Amino acid sequence: MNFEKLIILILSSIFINNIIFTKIIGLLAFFEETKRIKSAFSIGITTTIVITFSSVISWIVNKSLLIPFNIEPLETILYVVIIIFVGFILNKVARILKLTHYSPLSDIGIIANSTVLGVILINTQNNLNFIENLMTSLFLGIGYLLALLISAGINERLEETEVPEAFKGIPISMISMGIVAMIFMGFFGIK
Amino acid sequence: MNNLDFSEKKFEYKSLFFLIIGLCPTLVITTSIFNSIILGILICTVILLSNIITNIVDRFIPIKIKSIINILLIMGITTIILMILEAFFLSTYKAFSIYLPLIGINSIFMRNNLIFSKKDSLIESLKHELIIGFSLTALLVFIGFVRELLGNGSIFGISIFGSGFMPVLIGLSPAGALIITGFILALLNVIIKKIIAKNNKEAK
Repeated sequence: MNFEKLIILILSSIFINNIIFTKIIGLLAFFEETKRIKSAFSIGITTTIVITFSSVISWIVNKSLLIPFNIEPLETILYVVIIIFVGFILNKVARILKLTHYSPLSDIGIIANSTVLGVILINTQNNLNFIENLMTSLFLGIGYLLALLISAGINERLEETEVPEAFKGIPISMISMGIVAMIFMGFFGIK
Repeated sequence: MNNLDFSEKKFEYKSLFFLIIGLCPTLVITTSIFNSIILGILICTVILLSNIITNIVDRFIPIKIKSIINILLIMGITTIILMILEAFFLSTYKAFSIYLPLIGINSIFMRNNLIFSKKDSLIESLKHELIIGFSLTALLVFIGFVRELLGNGSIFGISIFGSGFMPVLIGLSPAGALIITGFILALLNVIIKKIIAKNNKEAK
């Protein structure tokens, strides 16, 4: 992979194919965790790590187990098992290293996030090679982190404004996310 | 949990929140009423089947591995439904692609948080889930209706406004999905508040 191709891959993973604004996968963390920038940052980092590890493992499983034995329909179950496994291992590691800010790693939280599974499924569909797979999942995770930070910033500002009664809470943050998504649509032309 | 009881104030925020969680991975593909109806049927099937099967199996599993077994069961059900869909409705399956497995993930989350009441009997919890499934389907159909009307100027593929209509293309894009859903949820908020106020008046 040459340098030019890498730059294009990074840009397209972060902006053009942003997992939240162009695919709308993983809104759960959006409404639950993005009240403060600090918590958004920690959950974004955690999700990025889980995405990268589980994407690499599932690429290996896909190439060495699913395709040779011709059992692709079972991919979803196997991927979920891999995600649970990765979440479990990282949870143990975080406990051993005593990273207290690493708390969002409870297994259900990561799985229900649905971003992780979404990224793995997208990567499987695009039939990438190993390095492309690694880079794409890493930078899709960073794009997710970026989206979380944007939404946390917006939510912090929204708390100080007077929103109409009916729009309070989820509706107004959904509409503001839609407006940001319109900005992200502007990147579509770049290839 | 009586979250879906209209007379309770709890309804307002929490159940709305969970409905949106159920919505979120499907928002992109609700570009027409037809798609929304199929999606709603799929979600209802997954939720109901997973409730019945996990309720039966729960008694035989040790408590330590219960949550993992539940997750695997629900994903298994989703996979079976996907395979049936691929066998009989290939074009729909291809159009929905990666969003279908995510329905399974969401129903896991919903099961763990919304409908998780061990005390209820099977029929009680089935009733809850039916209500949730139907309200989700209704929401999806409404969103699909608005998006199809704005983005395509048609309902069920039949043109409404004639040939002079300029379609609002934002309605078909993901950004439009978010904005339209926001407005619909605000409308829902108003309606729920009115119902609660009416109930309170009658109670007095």
